[in-house]
Amino acid sequence: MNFNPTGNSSSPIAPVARLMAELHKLPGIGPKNAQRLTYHLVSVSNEEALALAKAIQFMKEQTILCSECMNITDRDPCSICSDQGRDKSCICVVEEPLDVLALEHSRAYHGLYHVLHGAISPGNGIGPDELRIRELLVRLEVSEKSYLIGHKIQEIVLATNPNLEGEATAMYLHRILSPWDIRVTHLARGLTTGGELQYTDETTLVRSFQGRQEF
Amino acid sequence: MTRPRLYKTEGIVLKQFSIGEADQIVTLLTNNYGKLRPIAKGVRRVKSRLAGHLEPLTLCRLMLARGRNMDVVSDAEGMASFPNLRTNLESLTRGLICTELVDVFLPEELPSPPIFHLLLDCLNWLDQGETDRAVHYFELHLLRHLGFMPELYQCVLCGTTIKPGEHGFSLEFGGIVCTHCYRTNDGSAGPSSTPYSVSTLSLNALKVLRHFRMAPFSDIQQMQFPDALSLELDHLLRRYLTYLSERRLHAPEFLDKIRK
Repeated sequence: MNFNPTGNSSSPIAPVARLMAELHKLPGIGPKNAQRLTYHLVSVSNEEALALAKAIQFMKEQTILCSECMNITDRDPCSICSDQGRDKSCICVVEEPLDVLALEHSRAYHGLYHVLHGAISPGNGIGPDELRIRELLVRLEVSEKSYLIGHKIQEIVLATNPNLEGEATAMYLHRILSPWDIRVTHLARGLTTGGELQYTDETTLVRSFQGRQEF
Repeated sequence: MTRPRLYKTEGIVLKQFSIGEADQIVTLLTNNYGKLRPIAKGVRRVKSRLAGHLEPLTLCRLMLARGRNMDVVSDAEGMASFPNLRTNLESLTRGLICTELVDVFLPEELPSPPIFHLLLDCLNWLDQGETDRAVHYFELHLLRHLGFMPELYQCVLCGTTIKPGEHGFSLEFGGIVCTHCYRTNDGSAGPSSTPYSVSTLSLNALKVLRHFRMAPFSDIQQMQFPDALSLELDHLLRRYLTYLSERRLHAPEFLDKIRK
């Protein structure tokens, strides 16, 4: 392993170089950062360094995707899908697990979720097959056959991001969901709290006008 | 073209790439500096003033600052967002086909005003409701500006002037192959003896390509194309562009998928 960001003729020893190479793979960690973190771990106690290694191992071993909603969880089905107090007639479709966290934090929504793990981005080669769309359709099929009142899905809320990829994903989902007898809605668009009208872009302003309401 | 420390330009956003916690690298085609990839700091924060203006398929006015490694977007204001293009998945994808082609074929910082204006025109046409023929027109003229305009008047193998009939199109030689050479295509002709692929080019497709080359788009808008002809043009241009770019083109594949 020839990982040598300083360009010195004496390369670091193999175990150190190997850790540097692994840390360098992480997003946002450049060669200098990788070097700094590696040498930090060299200097701390075995206990502390191994705690990090074990935490990574534990996370990978214990986290799985919920078979219902595709969210990251440690048990299947996840706590939201297993919660009997939730409105099972509504599924809110989001791009990433962090979106679920944000929505749960707002306490605005009491139904179920579905995590796509991405958004359609034709320019970057991410199409519908790369996302968890098929799993959503399977959920709808299962729900159709369900005899339990309140378990039949009646509404799907498209909560993808209000950017190009999110809009493309929402349009695509709207299209494939049209054969189903299910209400498909999307979140409102509008002005950002704390923002200013003069800096807001055209698209947002148009939508804000369209969505205006009585006091 | 050396850029001053702080410079203004107009640009069409081709794509975005997220880096770090709140930043993005925005790929733009500008009117006078060519393709640029400055960093837009903080656009992924909720209170970002720039975010909405730097969406792909938006024409914006920008102020950019020279940086050590990369330039930084200091300010941006959307001038045109092509709203109708965005309301329909097919037209959005057609717009993304055009931006993907520009991104794939243009190197950075090569001033290309004709390509900038071609892209801007095409996005306007798509916004007005134009569909595949706008994309085909764009593709042919993009090839022309890049220096890859296919030869449509003389056989690329034997040089004879093309007469009406069914001909072939060679990707490797970049143009039309006359009926005779097409029929005797056994891989033995050509400067190197490697076999080349020649596909059929109908007479109507040839006429349309010649017309696209010479006429302004306003003339093309008066024409009607049967579906089969439109499909033939689509396949031909896609194969030629894929061959020249030496990579898969994702947006056209997505368009195929959603049209099924």
